[in-house]
Amino acid sequence: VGNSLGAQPKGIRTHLDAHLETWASIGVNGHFTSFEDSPLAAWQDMAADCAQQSLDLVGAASPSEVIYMNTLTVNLHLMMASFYRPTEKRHKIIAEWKPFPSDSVSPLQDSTIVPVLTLPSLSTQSPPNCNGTVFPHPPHSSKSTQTTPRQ
Amino acid sequence: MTISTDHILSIIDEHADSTALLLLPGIQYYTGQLFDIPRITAHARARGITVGWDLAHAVGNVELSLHDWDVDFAVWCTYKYLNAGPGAIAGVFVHERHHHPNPNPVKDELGLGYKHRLAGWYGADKAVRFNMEKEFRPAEGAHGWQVSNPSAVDLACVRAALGVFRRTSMKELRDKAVVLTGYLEWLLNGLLQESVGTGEKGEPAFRILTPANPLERGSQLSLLLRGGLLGRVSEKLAEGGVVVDVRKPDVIRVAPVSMYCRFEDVWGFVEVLKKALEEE
Repeated sequence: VGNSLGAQPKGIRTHLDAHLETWASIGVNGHFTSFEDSPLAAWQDMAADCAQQSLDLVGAASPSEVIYMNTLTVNLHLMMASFYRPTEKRHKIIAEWKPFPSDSVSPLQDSTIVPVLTLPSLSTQSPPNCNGTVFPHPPHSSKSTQTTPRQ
Repeated sequence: MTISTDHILSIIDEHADSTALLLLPGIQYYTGQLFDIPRITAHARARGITVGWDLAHAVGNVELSLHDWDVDFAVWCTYKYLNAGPGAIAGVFVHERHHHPNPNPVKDELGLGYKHRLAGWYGADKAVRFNMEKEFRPAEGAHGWQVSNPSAVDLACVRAALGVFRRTSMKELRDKAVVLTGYLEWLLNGLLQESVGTGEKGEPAFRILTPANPLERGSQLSLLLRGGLLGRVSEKLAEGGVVVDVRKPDVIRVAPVSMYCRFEDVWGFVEVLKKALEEE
């Protein structure tokens, strides 16, 4: 079930062992040192190394376009703080109206954690001819008509 | 059940003047629908809308060209199709055009003209990270969005998982996945044609929610079972050694992952499902 939790790669164990070996043998110097026989970069370069390995995966032009950090919802919050910059005229977010909780909660909470942001008025898209079994809630059309961002 | 690209584009047109951001999943987790990311992105960006994608169900599952598609940002987790383990550290994409400081900084940007962010010390350029300077000078690109230092154990798992992908390519994985999921669909449609598990009033045992067009889906097919079947079917699948994901009330999500599932596994699943439905 890759759609929930993927199978464990055999290499996980060897990579973790390599990390533990670095830590046990050279301690704090692991931040800056990588062993020739280790599959891992120095600790401070590991995230950049993972970015380098991800170019084909996401179609990035360079490793600087990719970073590994935190977990999904935290990253969504961080990105929203940067990329959702509402103005009086443009303030809506076009989003799925019944998304997975990690997506639906974030925009709303963003407005509370970043006080400069106004409450977003979600322009919610509803699937046409939706079947009640799958999408049991009506689209919140009132939200999409909200025009003035509240402070 | 699924959402057409034209419908999404019409929503964009309708709200174009008042929309700041478009944020959608690359693949919808419930129906398994793969959205037309390049077309939707281009349409929204042409109307001045910032575009972000949640690729939790898409990365490692379908081919992506985030840079060429001009996507502003994307986020994904690494424990589904990337296999880095439960709660593993996650990924972020920030397009190159947001990497460089604005030569004429405006109020909404960091002091040096870089894009506004929740900045933390670890996002500072490696050369000056330990200088404890007052002014925040971010590391290049997406790396400048780091807030604090990541766990080396977490990164070791991601590195191991990515290493497997480096031994093949997304094109090869996707090529096999299209056929593998197509085979699953063909077998499932066979069950429906044979009326396996059909109800007393002729209601079919299940319906496939996922689009039939391989270009509009990844590995996953979502089956909406006839009401009341789920408990027994999931019990029988577990007994038969099949691991699928169950979404109550009535949906099972079946994802034959091309990296480690064989055609024989797909056949075995359908045999177990058939038995479970026949016993009803």
